[in-house]
Amino acid sequence: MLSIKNLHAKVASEPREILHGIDLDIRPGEVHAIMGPNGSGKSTLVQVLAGNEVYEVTDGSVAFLGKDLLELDPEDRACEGIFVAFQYPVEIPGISNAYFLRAALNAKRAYHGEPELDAMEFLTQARAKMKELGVTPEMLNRPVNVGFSGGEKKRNEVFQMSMLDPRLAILDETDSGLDIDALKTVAEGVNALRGGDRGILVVTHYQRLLDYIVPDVVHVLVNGKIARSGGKELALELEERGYVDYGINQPATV
Amino acid sequence: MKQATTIDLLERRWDGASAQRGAEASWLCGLREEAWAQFNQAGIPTTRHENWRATNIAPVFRRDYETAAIDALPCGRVHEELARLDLLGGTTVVFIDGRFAPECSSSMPEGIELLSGANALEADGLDRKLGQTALGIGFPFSALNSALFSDLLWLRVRSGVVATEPVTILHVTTASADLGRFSHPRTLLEIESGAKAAIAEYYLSLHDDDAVECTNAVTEVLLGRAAELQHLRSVLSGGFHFGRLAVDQAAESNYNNVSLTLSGKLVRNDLSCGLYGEGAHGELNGLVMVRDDQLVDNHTWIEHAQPECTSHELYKAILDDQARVVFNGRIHVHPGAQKTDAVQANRNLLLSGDAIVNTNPQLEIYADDVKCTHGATVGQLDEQAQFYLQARGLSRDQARALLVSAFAKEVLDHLPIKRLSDWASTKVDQWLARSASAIER
Ligand SMILES: Nc1ncnc2c1ncn2[C@@H]1O[C@H](COP(=O)(O)OP(=O)(O)OP(=O)(O)O)[C@@H](O)[C@H]1O
Ligand SMILES: [Mg+2]
Repeated sequence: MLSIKNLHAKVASEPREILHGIDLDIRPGEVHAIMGPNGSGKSTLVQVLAGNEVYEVTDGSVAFLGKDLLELDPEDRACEGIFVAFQYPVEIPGISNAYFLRAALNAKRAYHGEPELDAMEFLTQARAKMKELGVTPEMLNRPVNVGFSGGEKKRNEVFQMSMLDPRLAILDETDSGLDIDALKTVAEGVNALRGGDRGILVVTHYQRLLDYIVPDVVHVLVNGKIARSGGKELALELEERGYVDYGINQPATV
Repeated sequence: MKQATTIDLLERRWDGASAQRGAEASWLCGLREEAWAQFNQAGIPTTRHENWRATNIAPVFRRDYETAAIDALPCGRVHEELARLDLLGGTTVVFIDGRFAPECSSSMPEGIELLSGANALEADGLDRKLGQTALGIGFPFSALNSALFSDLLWLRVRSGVVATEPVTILHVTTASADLGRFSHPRTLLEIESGAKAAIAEYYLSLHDDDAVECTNAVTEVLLGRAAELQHLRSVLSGGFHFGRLAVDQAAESNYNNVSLTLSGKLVRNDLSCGLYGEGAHGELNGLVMVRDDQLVDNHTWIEHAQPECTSHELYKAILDDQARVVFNGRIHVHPGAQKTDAVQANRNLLLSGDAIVNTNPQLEIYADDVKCTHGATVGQLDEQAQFYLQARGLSRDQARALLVSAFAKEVLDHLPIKRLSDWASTKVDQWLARSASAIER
């Protein structure tokens, strides 16, 4: 469903290349994990897939469900079914979570020619999901991510994800900064999406998350390139040996 | 040449009112004489004056204003205008060109007293209340108002009364393109101890934006012990506006002001909030939305004169075209005002590269056990916030419109009365709709 070929990218305002030719294929129903040292380009890849204009693609292609993803605006990528849980969710004062999320849902529905969700339908749906994910109800009325703790922001991302019901969910270090209980609920949220023809891509530093979300494929991203891909046992190996085998003297968990 | 004309006009008005002054109580006559002398001594401030550096008011004195009073009060017209501005309904007090218009006004609810004309000026105790805070060196236009105001609006919420519905005060000018007006509305709001009220003051013009108009308004607010006032002040007319607000707070009182300026060629507000009793809380919040060649200047002063007082100040501005905004906010913590907690923020959003902001937050602290924060920003929309919204499916235009509206409406969160905040929110939306193309840029 997602096919990345020879992807090169850089920060638009700087000459230095960050991604040096990434190849990655995700088929419907698969869960992939990306691990790699700090600064190796994991978040850059995620941002490029989401369409952040801070980054510029200099070569390569990305196809998503048969469409040229790089041609689409960020909002159209979202409406086509890509959801990115960001490593650093942005705080937006003055806009309530509820308003924001309903606008997002309705934008997607309009894109697919479906009728708007009214306030009541939205609330019923949101309340049910919040309960499942252990999100406190008052979070709906608070401005988007403003004053949220690190863990609350991550939970909020997963809550948005489950409301928006994506075809491909991309999670960038959603497990970082979570306590054990939160980690479990986040994993449950992701696992609930698993199966059928949905794809999932998780970026993580921790093997621990992969105990809960067992990946089909693990990739090691080093220095802007996929250095190795393998099964879930690759994560265990990284946990033990760090990235020394990849010429980097740094433990996997930082 | 015209400057002389305007000064001449003011002088003629001063001379013309000598009979009225003669009939007034001697303290009032004395106050007016002193104020007039102060105004003449200070002269019209120029950009060489510290407090007027960023604001050139010379254009105000280059217009022809009339003095003649209008014959009949156009109540029908006033109500049409109120309907257009969505301000009909509720308890309403109308002043036209600085004079009370009873036939356009409604009666006061239980516990709220309205005094005007001779009733107000001859009432007991007025000498201890009027002009105490609004006179003073450095405010030449307050002095001018004290010298020349013809009628006083005195609204008194009696001790312990809790008024749930907001009272609307409308200061209407009849100025038009052919008939200029220079008016001096004067208001005294007194909230006695333990009373709670909400008051919304609007300054509006019966005619279009090209009316030759200068409104020189002074509002004094006295809050008794543990009194509470929600106060919206909004300039809706298209001309020149000088606004002076002086608030005097007793212990444990709670004052909350939202100043909304969506209109006006040149607006200068001097707003001061005096925390003169222990444990008082004062808020000055403001939203300015300007376009074309508008200039809006807000000068604010918060006086922490006693211990354990808290203050909150949030001033925001959105600028389009060649508009200009000035913010000068001073927080003064007096010696002995321990446990002061003061927060001040000034945020400005530029929709156009030609707009200009001058911001000058100032802290002056003479006590040691205090918490004061302040900060100012001038910038464009947050690109990362815009991207975040887009990544959730909102179009670029939708995301930008939402962010600009959220930027503005943060100020309205400080207006807890729903009727007022809904009204303000609609006005903000109407303003934004006119700047849609700049927002999409
Ligand atoms: N907006 C940016 N401006 C400048 N440099 C950037 C920007 N984004 C990424 N970089 C640089 O690109 C490199 C890769 O960063 P990226 O955030 O993709 O790493 P990462 O693998 O996600 O790291 P981490 O594990 O710490 O989250 C780093 O050297 C980083 O400094
Ligand atoms: Mg990262």
